[in-house]
Amino acid sequence: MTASTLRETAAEGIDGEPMAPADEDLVERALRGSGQAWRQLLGRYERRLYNHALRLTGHRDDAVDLTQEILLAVFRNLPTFRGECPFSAWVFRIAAYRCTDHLRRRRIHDPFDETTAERTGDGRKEPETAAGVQRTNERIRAALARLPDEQRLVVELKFFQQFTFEDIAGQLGISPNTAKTRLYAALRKLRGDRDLEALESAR
Amino acid sequence: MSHDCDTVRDRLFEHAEDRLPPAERDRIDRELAVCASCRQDLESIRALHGTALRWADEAPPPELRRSLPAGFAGPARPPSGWRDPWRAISAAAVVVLALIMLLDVRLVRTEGGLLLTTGPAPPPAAPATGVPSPVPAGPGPDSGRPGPDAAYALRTVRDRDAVAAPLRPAEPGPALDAAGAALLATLLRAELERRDELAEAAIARLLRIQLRQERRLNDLSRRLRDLGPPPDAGAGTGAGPGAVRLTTEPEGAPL
Repeated sequence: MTASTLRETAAEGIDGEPMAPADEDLVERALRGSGQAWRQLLGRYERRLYNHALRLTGHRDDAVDLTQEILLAVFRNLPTFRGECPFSAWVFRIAAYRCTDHLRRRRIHDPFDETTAERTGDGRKEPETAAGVQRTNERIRAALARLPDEQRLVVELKFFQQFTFEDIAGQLGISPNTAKTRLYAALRKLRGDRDLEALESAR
Repeated sequence: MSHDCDTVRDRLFEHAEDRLPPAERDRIDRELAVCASCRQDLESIRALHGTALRWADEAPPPELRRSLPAGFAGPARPPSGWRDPWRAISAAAVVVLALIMLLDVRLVRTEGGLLLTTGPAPPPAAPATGVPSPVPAGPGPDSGRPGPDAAYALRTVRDRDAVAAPLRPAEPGPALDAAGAALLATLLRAELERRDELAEAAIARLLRIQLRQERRLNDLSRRLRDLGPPPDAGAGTGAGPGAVRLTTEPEGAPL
């Protein structure tokens, strides 16, 4: 199935029912004053951006602050979006700038500080989340926290957001080759990481 | 065949995601067979892909949504695209202003209303009531002979309402000066390049220029009305208040 066929199918839906509006349509409606369209956009990106921030900062409080900064910047800059690129790429370009600035301003804490160790050891402190899933997330956060900021950002954008190297280069203001170099350096650093190996052995 | 790790690594992500054409995939497989370092990189890519899939998204806390704006109070940006009626109207305004500039289009008041005309201004028409047409400037005020009418093509009461001459000053020239022409060129370029902000700003400025000219035209026509009827030949200088002397006769001199 070609990409264009996929898009046509997606526009109609498998059973012929109209699919959810495209991001660009929601943007236009939000800019005309539709609160519902804005809330729909938030709904699509809020969770994704929060988890993006969580993996980058390693802390939930920092992730909330960073996500709020990103979404406020998206809101303020929404009138300037002209559809020159996909809306998701535009949002993550803003996010990359905010993340870089945030990481520069604050030191990334080791997520396995005393408080976090207590949480991972005692599932009762996180009643809403299965202990195993929580532990997996925290091991991934811990592994990512051991990377330098610029490598962590590229890993996040490539492996967790599935952007191409060209997209990543555009968002970070670097060349695609530089993005690849940082990514391979990150891969070698993560090779033999104790948390990732623990995850593998727990399978 | 010499092995180049950088060339192989350039394609490793696509290989791991199974996005290579078959011939290229086979070539990379042959390269991987001879390089342990490249094989290790491929394994690391696959392992991290697997790790990323194990991440379970967490829900953001409710206070995050409460801290964000509820939306835009009104239109934050006019809709874009040629389907937008305002864009069509602005494009029409561009065409009208281009006509004014290029074809010396003028707005003329006639008995039936306003008339859009082009070309140079017609010569003044002969008055209908027998009052002499304006003549070139003649002898000065000391000559004792009736002086000329004013330099502008002023008419009799009847003709003034049916004036065919342009309402703008007699000096010929385009409706817009060089600055306006440059501005119009900028507007056309902006429209072609679909630069909304530049086009809108240029349209706003051109509309302000047009508004100023319309005010001038209205002011001139008001002054014409305020002049009242031209002084009659036997009425001496008995003009109404605010009347403009049309002859060069000294005040009070018998006619």
